[in-house]
Amino acid sequence: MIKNIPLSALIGLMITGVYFFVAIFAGFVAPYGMAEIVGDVWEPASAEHLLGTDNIGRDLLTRMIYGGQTTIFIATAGTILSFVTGSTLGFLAAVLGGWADQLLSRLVDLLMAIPSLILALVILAMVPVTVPVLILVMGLLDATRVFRLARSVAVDINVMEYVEAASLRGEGRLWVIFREILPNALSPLVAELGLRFIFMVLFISTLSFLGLGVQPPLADWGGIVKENKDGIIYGIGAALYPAIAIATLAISVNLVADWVLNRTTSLKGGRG
Amino acid sequence: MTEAFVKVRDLKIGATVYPPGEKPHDIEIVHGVSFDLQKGKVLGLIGESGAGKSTIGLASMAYGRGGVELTGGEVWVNGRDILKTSKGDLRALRGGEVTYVSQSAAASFNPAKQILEQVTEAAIRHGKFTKAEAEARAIVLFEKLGLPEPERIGRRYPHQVSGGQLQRCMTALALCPEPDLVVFDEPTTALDVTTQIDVLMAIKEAIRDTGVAALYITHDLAVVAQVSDDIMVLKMGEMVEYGSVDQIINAPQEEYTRALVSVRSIDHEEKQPTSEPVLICENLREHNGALQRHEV
Amino acid sequence: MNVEVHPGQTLAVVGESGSGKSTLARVITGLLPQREGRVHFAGRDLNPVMRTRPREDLRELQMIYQMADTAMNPRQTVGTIIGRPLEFYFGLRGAEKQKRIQELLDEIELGKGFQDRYPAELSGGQKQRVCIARALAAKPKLIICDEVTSALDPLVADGILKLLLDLQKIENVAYLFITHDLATVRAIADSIAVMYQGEVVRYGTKTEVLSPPFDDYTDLLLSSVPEMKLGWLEDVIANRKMESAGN
Repeated sequence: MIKNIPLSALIGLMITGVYFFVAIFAGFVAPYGMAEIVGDVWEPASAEHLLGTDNIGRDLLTRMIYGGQTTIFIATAGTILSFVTGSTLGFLAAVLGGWADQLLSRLVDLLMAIPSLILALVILAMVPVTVPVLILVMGLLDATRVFRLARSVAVDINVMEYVEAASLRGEGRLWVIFREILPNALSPLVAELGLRFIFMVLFISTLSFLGLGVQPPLADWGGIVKENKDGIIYGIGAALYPAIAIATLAISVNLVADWVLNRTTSLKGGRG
Repeated sequence: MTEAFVKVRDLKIGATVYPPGEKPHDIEIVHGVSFDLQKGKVLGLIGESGAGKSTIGLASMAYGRGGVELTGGEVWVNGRDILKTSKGDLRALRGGEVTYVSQSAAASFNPAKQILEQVTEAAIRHGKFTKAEAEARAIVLFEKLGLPEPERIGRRYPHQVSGGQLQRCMTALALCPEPDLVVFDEPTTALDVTTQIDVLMAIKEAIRDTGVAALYITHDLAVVAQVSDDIMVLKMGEMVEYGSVDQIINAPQEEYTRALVSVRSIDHEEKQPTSEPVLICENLREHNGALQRHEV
Repeated sequence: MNVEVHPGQTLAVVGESGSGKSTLARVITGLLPQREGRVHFAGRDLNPVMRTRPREDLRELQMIYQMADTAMNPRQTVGTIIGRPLEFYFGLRGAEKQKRIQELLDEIELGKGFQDRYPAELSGGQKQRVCIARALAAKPKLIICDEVTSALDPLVADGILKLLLDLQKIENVAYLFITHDLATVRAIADSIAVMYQGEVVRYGTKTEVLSPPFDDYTDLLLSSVPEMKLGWLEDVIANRKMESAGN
């Protein structure tokens, strides 16, 4: 089976795997403490500090590792939240139809009409900005996109005769959603999962860059960019590392998502 | 014995299959089929799904749908092996000398254009007629095919005519450029049986009047018996039997052919109604007026 | 409309597109509530709305569809598809359920090893057989067959029709067989209802319906079915010209 994985997906899997591994075991992998000041400001790369130091003298590699942990954790949690909420509501809207569908869909339309960044900034300006709050806000805002997709996929499946056959048997609505619709809706949703995750990473990084995301001394990639951006004028490339990290993570996850989508649509006559 | 207009010799067609969980590989789906076709004659290709009849029909235009490749043999149309002609020449061939009538006219017509425009398009594009000539010819064809109001029907859009009428328009489209060969791919399968008759007769007369050679593909032996001169029975890409329509219908040699000829002749003893029905529909009437009451 | 189906027998409902025959199936199953009239099934009236019907009503009335591909969940194995009605209606589990699934597979002439297959791995005829087994699993009194052979090759369709007839003898189940194909009707019907534009234009036993004198539409329908003989087409056209000239 390993042989059947195309090269692009393998690379994607490996890189994503490395990122997640480092994120989970940050405490063991990082050479220094997260907030520890170990050197001079913006020291260049050296044997002791592989990426140099940041704007107040902390080891940049350590900051990147802990930053990755925070960013990836928030993005993952946010994606799970948006997915569970969006899919459940999307399936319900498709199966219940009628006014329930109308209500949910119009609510979602309303939320989507406002650019999510602006909306997030407004909300975060009013509430205490903690990690759980960030996850909640980002997750719910993104759930709207997942709702749209889940609903349209479920509507397509709902008109299939095997769903009607199940209803004619007398199966309850929950059964129909979980046993008939969901297994067939998985492949387009799973591919979307990868994309939403990338979006979350970008979203939280943007929020942190603007100062309304993760608060210092907690590290995250967007924050690191913010902290080190002034160095660019002096030719200090410290701010570029988190940018590269975000980009490579995004591309890797994308490659894996593509591969998953290809695999699941060709199996067992799945959707897609 | 006149030289056959279409000669197919040992045609082999292959395709790539992608079974789930395995590596994709190539298989042969037509294993060396040969036949002759004279001008003005109709050859019926009959078989079940997967027999390869559509594939062979398309191969006579040197076309393989969806990754299907013509891997061997010769297809001679009008003295030329079309498997060896260049792409440019093939483009001139298709729609000009060899035309195609598909199963679903509704899917083949552009809903946004008038019928006449589409019927004459290929003829004009291939430089066979000027616009005026092509339109005049189209109207003549509409009349031959039994369409109502032949002068005006061309101005309608595809959704404004019925299924049977549209299928006849598709036939007109195929006949307009004065082709040498027309491939009919299950043209009446999607139609109601009462409409089918008119379309079948229209096709038969049109073929006779224009003197084209025709391939008629279907899985319905009774239908093909009405329009063909010869029949080739196909199974899994191989020829099972090939002969005149008289011989195939009245004196089939092969077991498979006999099975096809005797289809639906299941013996069933009719049971008499008992006293207590299990289902009674009384006075059923549904909301848009369907299912009205009827006295029995 | 007024039609009846007798136990262990087949009522064939024949019509072309727009005749209303599919609507009939939807009304009987309660997917489409009727405006007037009632559906009386096995001694009781059926609720016009499917969701309000008791489970026993749903169990005794099963349906088989035209397109077996979309009638089965592509992510469920044959065993799961046939097993679900057994669980749902009879509470069968474990070894008992497996045994019954195997019995049903035998009845539809599919052997061992089919339980773990997915619908995409089956041929058209096999798929339809699995749908039949699914309907039978509920031990129904009546099965509505909605154009079940229309999408199949003629020889495969024959096989399915023979199977349905055999099963009818064994299980004494009634069929409401909806079709547009008269040859099929001749092969399996005990009684026939001919539908045209929402009305039943002819109804009776098979012999009654298929014997002259005919009403106009049935006449048209019967004469339009291509017969396996040469020159049939010309004869029909000539006959029609004569009839319209005579009128």
